[in-house]
Amino acid sequence: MDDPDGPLVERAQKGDRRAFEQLVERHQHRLYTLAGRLLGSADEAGDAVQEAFIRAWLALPSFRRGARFSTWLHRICVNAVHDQRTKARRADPAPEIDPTDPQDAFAREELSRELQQALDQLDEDYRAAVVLYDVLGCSYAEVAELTGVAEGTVKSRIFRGRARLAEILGTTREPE
Amino acid sequence: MVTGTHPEDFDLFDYVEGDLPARRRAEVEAHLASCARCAEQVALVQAGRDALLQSQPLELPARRRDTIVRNLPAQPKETRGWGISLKHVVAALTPVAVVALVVVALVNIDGSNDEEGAAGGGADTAELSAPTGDSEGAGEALQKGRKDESRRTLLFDGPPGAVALQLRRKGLAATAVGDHVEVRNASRAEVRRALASRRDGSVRIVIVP
Repeated sequence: MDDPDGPLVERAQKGDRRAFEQLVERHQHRLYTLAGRLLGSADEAGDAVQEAFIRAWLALPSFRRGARFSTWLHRICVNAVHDQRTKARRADPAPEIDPTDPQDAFAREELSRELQQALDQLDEDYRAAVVLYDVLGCSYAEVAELTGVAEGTVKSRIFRGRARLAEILGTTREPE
Repeated sequence: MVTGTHPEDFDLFDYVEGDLPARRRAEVEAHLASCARCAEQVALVQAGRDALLQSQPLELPARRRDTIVRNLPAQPKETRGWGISLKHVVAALTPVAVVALVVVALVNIDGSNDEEGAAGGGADTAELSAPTGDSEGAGEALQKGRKDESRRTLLFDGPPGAVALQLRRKGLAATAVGDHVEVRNASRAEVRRALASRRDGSVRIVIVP
């Protein structure tokens, strides 16, 4: 399948900053949603996304054509999130979201905040699976590639992650 | 009495996602009707899914985006593309372009109308015609933009979260964004096929290139 980012990637690989800026424009919010939902902190998510784009820019010359750029970029972001989390653990406990900061995308919605707090309590593997599948709309194959596990494991993690999330939120539905 | 053995997690997951073949689905349903534990588990999974579907996409603050694009370091030169950067090409061509411009200018000052002068004039015309063409075609471009937009938008019965989920089940990259649904890299036909079971409605499905 043709990669819709292909022409921009090709230009960016030759050092064209404007082309890369357009790729940033195109993927910034998805990457921020991914990092934000995985880290639960606006600042840390911003740091992870910034780091991911810089790593992608530097590694672009070795990006092999034929691979899908967005999957590659998401993988870099997942790694940057992992590194960010390790760094934050070494420092202080996770910073609280500042509900008074109008720039803080997390603060704009009560629902988001409640959901985020529940997501933060999930096991990391489960959190990654539900965020990639249910929030970002990745396919099983993409989640499997991004998390390095088999598709069967992906399904199992989404299943358990959703159930645990519902328990935390204290919401259940009547069985259909 | 419980009917059959407890299905595996991924089997129950396929059931929740509507991905089980009819026969297996009937077996799982029979089991769920008699097993409170599995039925409760399935209800929890559905509730978790519904909560996640309501999650809104986050927007990277503009100041952070600016920081990213302003502070990109130099790309490693030795492995970049074919080893030639745009800067190198521009640097190499600049002296040639300057010489050509000087020649054209001198010819025009002379007032002569030979072949070189015509070529220079042609180049000027080509350069100047772009903005003129744009302003003349502005209305046309606007209309084309509107047509493009309507080609990228479909209307179906909601809610947006459920529409997005249905599209994802069919393998399309769909996300509910507020009151509409965004689908990436899909054709109108693919979206229509994926939502064939759904009636027309007021939820906009926007195809994002």
